[in-house]
Amino acid sequence: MSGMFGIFGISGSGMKANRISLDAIADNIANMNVIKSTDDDAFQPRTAILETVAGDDGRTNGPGGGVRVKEIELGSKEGRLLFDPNHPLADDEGLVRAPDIDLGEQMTQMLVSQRGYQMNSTTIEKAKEMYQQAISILGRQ
Amino acid sequence: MNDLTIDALQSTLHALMVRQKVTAKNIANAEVPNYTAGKVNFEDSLRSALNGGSNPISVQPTTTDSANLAGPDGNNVDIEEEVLTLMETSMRYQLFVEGLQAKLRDMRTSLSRDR
Repeated sequence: MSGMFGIFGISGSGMKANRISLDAIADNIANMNVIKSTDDDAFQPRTAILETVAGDDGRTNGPGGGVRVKEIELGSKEGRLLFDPNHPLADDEGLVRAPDIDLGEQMTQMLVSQRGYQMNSTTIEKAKEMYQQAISILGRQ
Repeated sequence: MNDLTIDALQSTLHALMVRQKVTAKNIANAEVPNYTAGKVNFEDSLRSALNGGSNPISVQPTTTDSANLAGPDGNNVDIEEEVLTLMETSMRYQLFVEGLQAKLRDMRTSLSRDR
């Protein structure tokens, strides 16, 4: 989105991408402890893959375009095998399937996405100030 | 009627807005693998135009790749630098808007005085 209020489009796309990333992380954390039997696939962790959107001038890093989520990548179906023979879903060898999710890594990613969301939000605030300044050229006597 | 000051102010305001857009772009792409940050240049061209006597209104801001070192994922956005640029560009924009307003006020005052 270029034109007169282009910054809102750029930073807005950034906030949207950050939010989708956070949704994926929240999903992973919520499903961290979902146990399946070894006959089923594990809960596959979600990862939002981001890519740049070029502006009208075709430049990736020019004054237009933005960023977007290219796809949500699904992680391992095998997950991690845990030995828990007392679990109702345990197989003959006492194994169950857990998702391949590391909480520490998820928390780190969460901080990155949160920070990104805040930065894009700050940029929108600054842009709003500038646009208001530009409009004020007309108003003041 | 050509007013060099107004042309220079207008050219600067436009260029600062382009710089802010590129800064917004860099911030939005701060975590995208293999993204190269953009940088906007116009001060040198504007100075040359003013010193050389050509019309500053024709000076266009140019976007080039940042020479910063990339991290392990190929992204070279320096977020602290982008935030500083964001703040500075915002303040300079305000400064130049006020300059333009002052200039316009002067012109209106002269117009009313000449009546």
